[in-house]
Amino acid sequence: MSLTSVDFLIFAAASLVLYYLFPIRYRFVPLLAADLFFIVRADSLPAVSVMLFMIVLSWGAALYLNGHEERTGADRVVTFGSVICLTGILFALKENRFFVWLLNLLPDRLTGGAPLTAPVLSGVTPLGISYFALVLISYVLEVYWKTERAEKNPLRFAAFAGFFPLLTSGPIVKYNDSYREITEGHAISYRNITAGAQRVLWGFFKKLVISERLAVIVNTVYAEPDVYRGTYAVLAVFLFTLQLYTDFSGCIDICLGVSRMMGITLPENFSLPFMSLTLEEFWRRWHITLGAWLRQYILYPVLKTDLWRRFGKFSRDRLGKRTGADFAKKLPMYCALMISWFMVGFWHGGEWKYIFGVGLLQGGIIVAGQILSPVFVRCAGLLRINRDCDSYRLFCRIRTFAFFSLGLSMFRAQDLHSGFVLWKSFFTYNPWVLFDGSLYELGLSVTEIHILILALAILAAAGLLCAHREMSLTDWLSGQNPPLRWILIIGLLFFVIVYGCYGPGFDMQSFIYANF
Amino acid sequence: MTREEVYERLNGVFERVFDIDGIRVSDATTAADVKGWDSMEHINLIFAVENEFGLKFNIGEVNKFKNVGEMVDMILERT
Repeated sequence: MSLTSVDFLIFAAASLVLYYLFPIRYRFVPLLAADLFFIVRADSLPAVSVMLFMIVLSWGAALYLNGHEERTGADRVVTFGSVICLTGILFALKENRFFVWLLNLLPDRLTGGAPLTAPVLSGVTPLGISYFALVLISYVLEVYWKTERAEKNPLRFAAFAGFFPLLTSGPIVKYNDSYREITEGHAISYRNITAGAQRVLWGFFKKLVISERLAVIVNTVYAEPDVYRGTYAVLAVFLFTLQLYTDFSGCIDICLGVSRMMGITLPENFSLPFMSLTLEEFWRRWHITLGAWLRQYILYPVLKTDLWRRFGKFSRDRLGKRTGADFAKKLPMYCALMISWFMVGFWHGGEWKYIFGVGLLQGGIIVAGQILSPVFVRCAGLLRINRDCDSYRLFCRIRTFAFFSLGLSMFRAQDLHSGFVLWKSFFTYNPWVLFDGSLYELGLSVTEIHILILALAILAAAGLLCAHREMSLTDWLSGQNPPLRWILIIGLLFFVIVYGCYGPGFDMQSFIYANF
Repeated sequence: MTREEVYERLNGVFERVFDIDGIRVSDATTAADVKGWDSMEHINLIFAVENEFGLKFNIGEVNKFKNVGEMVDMILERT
C-alpha cells in the first residue's frame, strides 16, 4: 500500500478513528490491529512469518535477560545469539549480494567453476526489515546493558516493533526514546490532528509535485548515459539529490504526520541538510536516525573494545613521532569511523555502488577534511580568504552539496562501473545545453518545468524560513493568524491536487527508501 | 567522594578534552553548551572520565547520559 495512495489515506483515517475509540490505556490494541492489516496487505505469508519470528525472538530474549542482577555467560549467549540471528536474517534477506560477491572471489575449485548468483528472496523479505531489525537489535542490547527493562506484554511489544508508519522508510527509532511514546495512548488534541495533517500534506507536496517531476528528468539522463553527457550528467546528478531528498523526507513527513495525528511524536530524520557547511554536518542532518544508531551500536562499541584501545596506545607510542601527535591520537577514531561508513553503505544494500557512494567515499571525504583541516586554514590565511562571511558560507554549502551529490550519483547508477562512466562523462564540454532549449527535451514540457521551478522555490523558501526562525513549518504556521494560515493550507492542498503527479495512467515511482 | 569533589576533577577532564581553560560544568550542562562536544569528542570524554575515576561505563550508559548531572550520578554510584 503506497503512502500516497487513496487506499492508504482511507486506512490511516480508519486507524485514527479506531485508535481514539479505545480507552487510552488500551490504545496499543487498535495500533496492533492497524500494524497487522498494513503488514498482511504488504507481505506474503512467509514474509509475515519471518517478521513475527524476529519480534518473538527479541521479546523472548529480553524477557529472559530481565531481572538478572549480574550478567552471566548464559545471558551473553542469549544476547549475542539473538543479535547475530537478527543480523543474519537481515543480511541474508537484504544484503546477500555482497556475500555472493565474496564467494565468487574464491578459487573456482571451491565454487564449482560457475559464478554464483544472488538468490531472489523478495517473496520472504518483510517490508521495512532494514528498519525494524535495527530497532529490535537495539532493544535486546539495551536490556542486556540494563539501561531498559524488558516489556512483558507481547502484544504491546508487537504494536511497537511493527508500528506501521515506520515500516516504509523509518525513522529508525530507539526503544528507550520511542517505546512509551508509541504504546502509551495519547488523548485526542486539535493541535496534534491539525499539525499532523499539515505535515502529511507537506509530504504529499514534496513527493507528488517535486520528486515525481524530478524523477522524469533524472530517469531520462540515467537511461542513456552515452547520449546525455557533460552538463546533462552533472545536472542529473544534482537533480537526483533533490529528488531523493523530496522523496525520502516527503515519505518521512507522511509517516511522522500520521503518527502525530495519533499524538505520537517520533524523532526527526532530517534537519535542513542543505544548510550544512561541511559534509560531516550534512550527515548529522540527513538520515539522522541511521547515523545515531550506527554511532551508538557500531562506532562506540568498536572504540570501546580492548583491541581498539591497544591500537590507540600503539598509535600514540609508535606513530606519534613520525606522523604528529594529533594524527596518531586520532588515527583509531578515523579507522573506526571508516568501519561505520562502510556499514552506512552496506545497510543501503550489499552492493559496492552503495558501499562506495554513500559509505566509504563520504567517510573518506570527512576524514580527509579533518586531517587536512590545518592545511586548509593555513591556505585560507595565505590567500587572505575571509572565512566568516556569507559568501564563504554559501561556497561551503555548495561544496557540501556537490560532495554529497557525487556519492549519491553512485547510489542511482546501475552499478559501480556505470557510476564511474558517468563521472567520466562530466568532462564532456557542452554548457550551451543550459540555454538552447535542450533541457525541455528531457521528458518534461515547458509548463511542467515551470511548475517544478515554482515548487522548488516554495520548498527553498520554507527551508530558509525554518532556518531563520529555528522552528518547524507547522509550528511557524500555528503562530500565524487564522486567515493567512488557512489561505496557505488550502492553497497548498489545491497545488497538490492540481499539480501533483498521480491518477490513472500515471506510473508512480515507489518511495526510494522503501526498497531498503 | 562528594559531588563537589567529582565536579572539581571533572572540570579538569573537560579542560583537557575540549582544550578550554577554566571551563566549569554543572548538572544542567549538555553537549550543546560546550564548544566541540560532538559525537566524536563524546567518546573521548568518556575515555578521559573513565581514566580519571578508574571506572568503566558500558555502551548503554555511554549512550544514555543526557547531561553532565547524569554522568556525575553514575560516577558517584560507582566510586
